[in-house]
Amino acid sequence: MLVPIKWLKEFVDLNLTPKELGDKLVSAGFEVERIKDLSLDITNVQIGRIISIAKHPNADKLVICKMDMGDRELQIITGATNVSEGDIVPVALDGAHLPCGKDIKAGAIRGEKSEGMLCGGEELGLTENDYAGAGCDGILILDKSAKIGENINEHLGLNDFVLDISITANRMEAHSVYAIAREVSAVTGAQLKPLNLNFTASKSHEVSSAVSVANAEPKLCPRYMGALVKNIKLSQSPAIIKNRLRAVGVRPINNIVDITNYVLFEVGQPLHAFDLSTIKGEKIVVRRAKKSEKITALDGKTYVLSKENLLIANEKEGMAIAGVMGGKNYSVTETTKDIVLESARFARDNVRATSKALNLRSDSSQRFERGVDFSSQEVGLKRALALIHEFGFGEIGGGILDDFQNKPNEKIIKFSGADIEYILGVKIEDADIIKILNFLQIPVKQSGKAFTVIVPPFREDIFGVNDIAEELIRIYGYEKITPTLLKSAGTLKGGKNSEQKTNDKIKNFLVGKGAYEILTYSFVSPKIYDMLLLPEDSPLRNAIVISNPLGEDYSVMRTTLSAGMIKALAKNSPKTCRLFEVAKVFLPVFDKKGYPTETNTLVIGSLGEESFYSFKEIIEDLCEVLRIEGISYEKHMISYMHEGRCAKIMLGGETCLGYFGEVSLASAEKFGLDKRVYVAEINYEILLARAKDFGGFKVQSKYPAIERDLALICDNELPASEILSASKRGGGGLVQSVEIFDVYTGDQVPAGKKSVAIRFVFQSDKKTLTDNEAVYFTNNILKELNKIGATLR
Amino acid sequence: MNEKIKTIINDATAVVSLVKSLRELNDARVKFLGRNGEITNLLKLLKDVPNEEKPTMGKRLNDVRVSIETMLKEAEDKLSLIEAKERVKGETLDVTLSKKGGKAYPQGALNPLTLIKNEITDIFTGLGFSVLEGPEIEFEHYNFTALNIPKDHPSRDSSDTFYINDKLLLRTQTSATQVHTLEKGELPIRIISPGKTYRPDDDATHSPMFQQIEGLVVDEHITLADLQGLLLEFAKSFFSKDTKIRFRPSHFPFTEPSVEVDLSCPACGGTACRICKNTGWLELLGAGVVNPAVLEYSGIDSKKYTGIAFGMGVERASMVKYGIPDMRLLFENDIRILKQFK
Repeated sequence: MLVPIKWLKEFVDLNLTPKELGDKLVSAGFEVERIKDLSLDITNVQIGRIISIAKHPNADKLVICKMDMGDRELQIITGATNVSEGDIVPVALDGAHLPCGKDIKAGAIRGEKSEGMLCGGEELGLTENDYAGAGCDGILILDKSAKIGENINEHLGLNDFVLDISITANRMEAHSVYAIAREVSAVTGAQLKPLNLNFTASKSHEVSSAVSVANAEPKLCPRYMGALVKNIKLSQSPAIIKNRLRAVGVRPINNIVDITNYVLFEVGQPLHAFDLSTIKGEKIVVRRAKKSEKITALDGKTYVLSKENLLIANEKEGMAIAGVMGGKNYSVTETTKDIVLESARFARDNVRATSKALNLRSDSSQRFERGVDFSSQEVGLKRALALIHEFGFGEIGGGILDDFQNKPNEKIIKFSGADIEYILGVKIEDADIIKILNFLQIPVKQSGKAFTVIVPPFREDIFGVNDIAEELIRIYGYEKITPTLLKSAGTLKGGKNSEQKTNDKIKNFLVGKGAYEILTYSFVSPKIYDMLLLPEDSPLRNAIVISNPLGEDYSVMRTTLSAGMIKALAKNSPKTCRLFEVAKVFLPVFDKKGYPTETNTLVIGSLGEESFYSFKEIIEDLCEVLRIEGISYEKHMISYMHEGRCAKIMLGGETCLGYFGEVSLASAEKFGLDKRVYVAEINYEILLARAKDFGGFKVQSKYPAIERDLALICDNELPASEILSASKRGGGGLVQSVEIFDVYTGDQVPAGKKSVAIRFVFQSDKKTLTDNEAVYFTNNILKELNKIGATLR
Repeated sequence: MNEKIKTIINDATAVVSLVKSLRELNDARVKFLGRNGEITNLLKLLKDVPNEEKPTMGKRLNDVRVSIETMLKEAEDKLSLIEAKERVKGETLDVTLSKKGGKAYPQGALNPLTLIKNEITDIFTGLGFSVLEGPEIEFEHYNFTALNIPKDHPSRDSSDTFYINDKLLLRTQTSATQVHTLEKGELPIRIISPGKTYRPDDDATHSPMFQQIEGLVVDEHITLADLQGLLLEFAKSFFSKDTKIRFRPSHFPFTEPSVEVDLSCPACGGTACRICKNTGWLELLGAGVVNPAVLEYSGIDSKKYTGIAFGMGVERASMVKYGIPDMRLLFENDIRILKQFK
């Protein structure tokens, strides 16, 4: 919301600098994003009068002007032909900067000195609509009221500051200069001056005899008001209106349109002027558009409407897209004689939907989208009529149309000073409560300790005592609160639960393994399915789809974290790195309440000096650290994994905890990788649930251990896990540990076979084992190994 | 015999004095005291000595042996010391050299957003808060309606919210978790709720996926002054103990009064600089007194209980704390960036 300070001053006396005013508004809840000094666009341009014009001795097309600058005379050379002696013109002096980008220097032109430049309208950023005469090709001849010697900014109303205020969504009424003036009055203690709403209506023309309103959609148009103005005199607006409109970024057009815009900014009410002669059947009909009904709007484009769009129509056809834009053939033109001024309230969501559907925005639609309160239709209409009356733009017809079918009930709030203190934790004296509410024009009555507030219609955001508390504290001052630390609350235990602690432990463990934690978007492109080479019937392709994504690349909720991980690895390639992420995957499997399945998942990735086994070690160590027992690994196949280098992580032989392996080159290539990378994806929720804090203390055996190595030969396909479990079976509980320390295939062993070197440690808790016992159990182990096809080499 | 003894002593003294290493010393020991050494050889000659001289001669020989042993021991001690010194000298390393670069996977790092989240969480858990997480795909009821956000509120627009269908959406705020907690009705409540949230924005200060931490306290007689105290404590712990905060009125449908909380600029301490755009303040979070309508919506007696709530952006907090200029850098996943947070 742009608020020129001069406009504010019409309603409230101000002695603050723009910065001081801005600070006060910020503390009252109006964030001032910028303070613009309008005078900075044009610098060092003064108003002067041409005393005389003489021919340039050395140039046919140039003339020498002698200028009266008030306190001095100047000589300026110009090539313009539209100037004559006595004209009052803008003079850019030495060092002037113009909005067109020109910087002016004094100097000599063809041997004659020129102490500046006479400016044209365009050079000052003005069009004909901004200033009469500005559109001509030549020098801008100022009107006779311009004061010689004055800075041009004074004359153009640019000696002003404009506050750019961001308004919170609840304060719909504050999108107006007058509402900001009310706030300024509250924060400065200066009285708010009333808006001039006075006009004299003609007795001979009644609006009701010219036109009537039939509102078929009171929900979409809760209030529709109209007034008649006869015999309008279409012209340019007076300077004050033009200057103020320009200050808020609106181009002046003509006096009638300008008045509607002026009221939009001053009071916050959009108005629209219909040419009375175009209202066929003398009836304004508020209705939904018919399917495919067309209307050509003021922007010259034809829009195809739907039943969702509200129309302001005459008996035959639509005359305006309600709240968005008027129709081309029904608005004010040069030939317009009488007008009907519309001042309505349209439902903000409907205006927003229509504006969006038609891709058509206007100051009016933006204003309606923010919400217009019920009081401003009347205030806005009367203010426009008062301005038309004041400037003599037309004759005001008698009476006002007002279709207001469902008037909202008056809101009454009762409270006491203690109630306010209970919310704020600071006591505001009764006298201050009354004073603040009075400034905000919120009517309040006091009876003993009880206050009664009748919420004014322009404050639709106020519902209850909490809202009153906010109104009070924002003016009273938050800095007057003494901070307390949950003064009345008891002590609570709080803290992280065990799963949250385990989460921290896992992340720290992975960091210790050299992994960096990454962060990728939850929404992905469906293209990743193909990059992961997922088969057409893969359940991972069945994702939750976002109906309004930012683009196809962010259109589905991911069902796997692997793609994001491989992408991140590719991004860092060829740098050696380990990465991890804990995030959710989403599946369209819905619970009783209707929530889809969100599963916290851990993904680990690695690139560089990694092998399948070194990568597996991360998972093995993780399970060890979390004391998860019963982990086993099974060969696994996944579309994007190397067929021979992928494993499923099994828990207790039944639950699948996840999988890991080497990404197949075919898939890696799709991500732009030409390196071997490893990825593990693990169900984090099972991991957290099964993690144990501590497994229980075990006293270590004090008797010596015996180590034995065996070299075995077996089929290549025999998994290591079976060799290890057979060894444990044969060990009679005395095998402290067993490990495979070498696997060999090649010339020394027959084809299809492998040599496996295995080391046992025997140890008893009860006694020192003898050599004989070691031999006995070694033989037992060999027997078990023979059963699975492993023999001594 | 006596002559031989004398010669041996002289020989031994001469040999030991010339010994250069422990190995030579061992040779000397063998030469004099070994099984076929000179002392042993003399002992063998003892049988030819007349009987009456045997004790004296035997004792003498023994004394000689002891004195040679002592000589050898002294020499050994000296040589050990020298050799140890030389060994250490030989093992001397260039301590300024580093082999860290040669390690495939040196220490990794948590994501800066996790660090910030942990730090914030730790501050509040220390104040008796529990940590609660909620679903990221949420019903519009929990994300909007139950938070007192009217049906025609612009934040519900498809330009501000990602929708799955009419009812389900990607939560736009962790406040949705508030409602789940309130609905359970286990009072008093003191929770923080960190998590991912989503909105269709993508620029230097907005990411379509971002993280928030929501805080909620519901108890008897909780006031705006408590909110100020709580957030002041937080700001002091999170930034520095001389940090100040400032409340500015704002608007959130689920709190009333609502405030925007500013922080005295950590870069300049509030004296104005480029970071705080010369205002001395940085916007930190939104907060307020829980709107009684929100409490009533979840069946909590708003006459008896009051609450305060706050919500902050984790990205924003990390940008302020670490001085990160562009939010998109946090999603680069470039280890050169992540390395800084070890």
